[in-house]
Amino acid sequence: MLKQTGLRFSLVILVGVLLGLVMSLGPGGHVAMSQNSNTLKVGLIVPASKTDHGWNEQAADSLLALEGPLNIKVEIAEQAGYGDISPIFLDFAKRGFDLVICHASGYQTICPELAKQTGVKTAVVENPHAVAKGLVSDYESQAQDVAYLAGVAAGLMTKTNIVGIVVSGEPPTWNFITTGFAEGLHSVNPNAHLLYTLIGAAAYEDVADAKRDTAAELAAGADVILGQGDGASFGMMQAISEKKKNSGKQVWFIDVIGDKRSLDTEGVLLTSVLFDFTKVFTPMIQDIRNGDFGKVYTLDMANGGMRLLDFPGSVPAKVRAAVAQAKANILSNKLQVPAISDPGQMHKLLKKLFPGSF
Amino acid sequence: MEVEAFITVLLSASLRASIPMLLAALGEAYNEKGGILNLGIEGMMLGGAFSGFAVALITGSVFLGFMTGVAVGAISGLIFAYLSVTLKLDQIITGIGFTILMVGLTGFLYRYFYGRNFPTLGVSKKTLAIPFLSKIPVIGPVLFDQHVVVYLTLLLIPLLHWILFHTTFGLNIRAVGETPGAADAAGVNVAQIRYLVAVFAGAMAGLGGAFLSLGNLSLFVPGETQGIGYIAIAMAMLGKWSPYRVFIGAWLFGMVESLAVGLQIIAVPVQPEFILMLPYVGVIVAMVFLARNARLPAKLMLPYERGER
Amino acid sequence: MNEMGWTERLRPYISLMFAIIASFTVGAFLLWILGINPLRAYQVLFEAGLGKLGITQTLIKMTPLLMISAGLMIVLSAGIWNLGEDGQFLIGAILVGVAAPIINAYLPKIPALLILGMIGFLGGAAWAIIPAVLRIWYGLNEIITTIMTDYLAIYLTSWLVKGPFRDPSVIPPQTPVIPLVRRIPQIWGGVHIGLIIGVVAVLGVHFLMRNSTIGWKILVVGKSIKTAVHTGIPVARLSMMAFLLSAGFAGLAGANGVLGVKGLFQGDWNPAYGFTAFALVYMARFKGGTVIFLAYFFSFLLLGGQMMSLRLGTPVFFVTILEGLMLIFFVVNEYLFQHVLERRRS
Repeated sequence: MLKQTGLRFSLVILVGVLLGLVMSLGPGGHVAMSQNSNTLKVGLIVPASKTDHGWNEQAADSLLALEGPLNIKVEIAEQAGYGDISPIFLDFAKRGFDLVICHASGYQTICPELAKQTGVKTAVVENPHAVAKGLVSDYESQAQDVAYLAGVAAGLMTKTNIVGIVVSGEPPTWNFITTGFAEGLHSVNPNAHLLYTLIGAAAYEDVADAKRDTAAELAAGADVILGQGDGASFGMMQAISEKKKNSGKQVWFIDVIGDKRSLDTEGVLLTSVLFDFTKVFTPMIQDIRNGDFGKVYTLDMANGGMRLLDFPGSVPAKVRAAVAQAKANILSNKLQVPAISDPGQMHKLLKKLFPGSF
Repeated sequence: MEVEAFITVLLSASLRASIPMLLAALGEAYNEKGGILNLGIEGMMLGGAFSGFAVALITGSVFLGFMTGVAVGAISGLIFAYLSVTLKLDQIITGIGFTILMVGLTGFLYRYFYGRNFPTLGVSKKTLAIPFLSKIPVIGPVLFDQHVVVYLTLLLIPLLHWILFHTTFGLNIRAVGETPGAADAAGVNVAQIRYLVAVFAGAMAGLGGAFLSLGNLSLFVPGETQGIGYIAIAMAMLGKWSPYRVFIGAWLFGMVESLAVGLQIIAVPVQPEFILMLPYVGVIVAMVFLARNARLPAKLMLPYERGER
Repeated sequence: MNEMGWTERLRPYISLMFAIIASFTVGAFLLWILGINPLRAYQVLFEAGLGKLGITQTLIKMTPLLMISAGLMIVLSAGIWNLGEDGQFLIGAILVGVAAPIINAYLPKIPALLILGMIGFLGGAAWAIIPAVLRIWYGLNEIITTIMTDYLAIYLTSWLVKGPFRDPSVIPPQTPVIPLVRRIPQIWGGVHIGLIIGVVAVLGVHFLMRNSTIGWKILVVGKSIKTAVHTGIPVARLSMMAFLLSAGFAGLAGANGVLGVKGLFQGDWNPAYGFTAFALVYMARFKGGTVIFLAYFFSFLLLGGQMMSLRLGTPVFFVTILEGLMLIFFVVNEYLFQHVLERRRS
């Protein structure tokens, strides 16, 4: 038996190794560069669907929009998940890509390692420590400023004086948004009651529980909900839309990272925190051409990388004015919004700002 | 905060949220009583959820969607019965195979057809308030302002209990799960009964899945059931296959889930993760007290060969 | 294995080939209905696994499957359905992730790796103690309890990696990065010693189950507890051992993921190998060599699916469909074989 199994296994390995040798020695292994030598090949790796009306779509659309203007060729690897993405990265490397953008904070350790191994330039999210001249760049989103504006709008729009936050996880970007939002809310409406619900750990696609949790916050009296959910956001929006339709009362949904206006049949979408990644991808690609790659690029309100989705027409002028004022204060540095990504510190801040709520 | 309204909504949500699990668990209770353990329930729920959603989206008829979900579940149940009763294949493996297949198939088809624009069925009033009864404080909105399928499920529970424990047919089901040889000798068609319960369990799982995508959410996402099918199997065993007890177990599970939401909203100072563990810890603790040395139906998972004792 | 006809001996392999071919045929049909050229799709799928990159990546992917399968070969033989591999994997992985920087500070590389591997193993095993005790002494169904402990592990690790185990110097929730030099030594193009450990584990279990008294006893327990009790086999002790060993191997796979592939434990990481390992152990009929072949093949498919989605935009779920079909076709074919053989005999 030992012999047989051993033999079988050795055969499998042998065939594999032989095939490997043949393929790696063979001439057909590499794809010939057919593009104009000036065209940069850029690969984007995103964890979920590139049309998710959210984080992944905003990056994919931003990069695709630059294909013509910057003379780049884009390929997107979607649904890469949070596991091991090295096959995808190495495949891009093998096919001679000039830049691989690793669009998830979960990829920020593996991608620099693979860049060192292959020599292919890479860009990671939220990891300034990894920056290496000519090899690794980092891009970050300072979402707290725009989230502050959303908080101002929420604080002025609420009639019940109860505002809710529903999240399907506590990743850094969302924690920035949560804290910015809470600060903004506190600035115009310190007596508001703030609710906070976590749907589940890593429940990014859990629409059913997202809907239930959002409905519960609405039942507790909230009439403006900040929902951060990825796929689960669809469940949140459904709960809010149903509430409006069934009760006849206006309730609002504030979305993040994406534009769901096309899905908003009931008119509940107050605004959304939009990320325009062209503001980081453009200098990044220009810097490759200039031989100056390896920096930290930041997406913020000042450079237009972050903005609020336009309010619907029913939002009163005084709310718009207050938001515009807050924006001016932030841009002129009169007001500084703290940037907090640690969940523990975030919960402490919420408690400090709204002691009656937590 | 209006406490009464808040609690009412939590209770009402706990009932609505437990319906998919309850339907699947009721079907699985019959299944297991008849000697079949179907780990494919999770997959069959997904099949019902996706097919129901797709048909409702195409035809614009939620009713047709529900019918499709039930049909897809029943057909899956039929195939499962063929594999486990006629071909006498290993039920656990076949069940796991079904679940893997359905997770893949529904995810693939959804991404292929709808993964670019995430359609929904729109926003509609899904509940049907029963006059007068729905006006009773708390109980009214919880029990009498629900989706039609919720009423149907609630009515089904006593019926299923009566059939299983007070009719000859129910006796035959139980006999087939315990002593198929004796049942066979007494002239009961063992294979026929097992086919019936397996198809029934599939249909119930399909209905449960369709309720999730049509009655509750108006949308589908891959992996929408999030493991409800497995919890349904746990509920069937915990409730010792009695429809009443299964109902109580499923609703309690839903209530503990709602409690986890409620505790977060009133901001108890505990990490949300620990609150969210409550339902699962609850199942294990409940098993320790209720299902200790629970005797499974004697012939569960075992195919019947004529001539055995 | 005494006198057996050649059909009998080849049967499992023919079943396997049939299952693979049948599932690919059904898969091709599905692609064709949807207007995707199946030949082109399968070409991409197979090309992905060829070449040095394809082979090394497949070997890396198969390592955790081998370790988990080794454990499943024991526990399933004992008639215990431990479906909690994913949770046991996570617990093993996070403990290794948090212990690594501490142990690396005091010990040289090899002893540190050995101890960390042990921590992963013991962590995974510890996570199975409650379901094991409940099953063996209280008669509680382990299918249910292990699925529940999977959920608990997801919540627990999610909290740990955001809170007490978090590396405060970086923004995302993760344990400190283990430097490249302190990871598992590599053999070839990213393939590391974990693969050898996985292969040895699978083959070791294979021979343990067939050629040792303890293996025989476990098989008896799995066949019939009554017989085992009559023969004087310590059922409880053996069941416990089998349960904890399988969970330990899942935890070891977690250690492999942290020390060999990722270099850290991070939030939202749940590769969920359990069902795939389950399917392949069953299809290999607990034979070590076939487990290794199938682990290679399934990893090959997973890689191909990723590349297919990249090149053709076909959803990654396609490979999951193939996997489910294969399992079903395999059991169906077992039946066909039995039927045909029986008919020929009579």
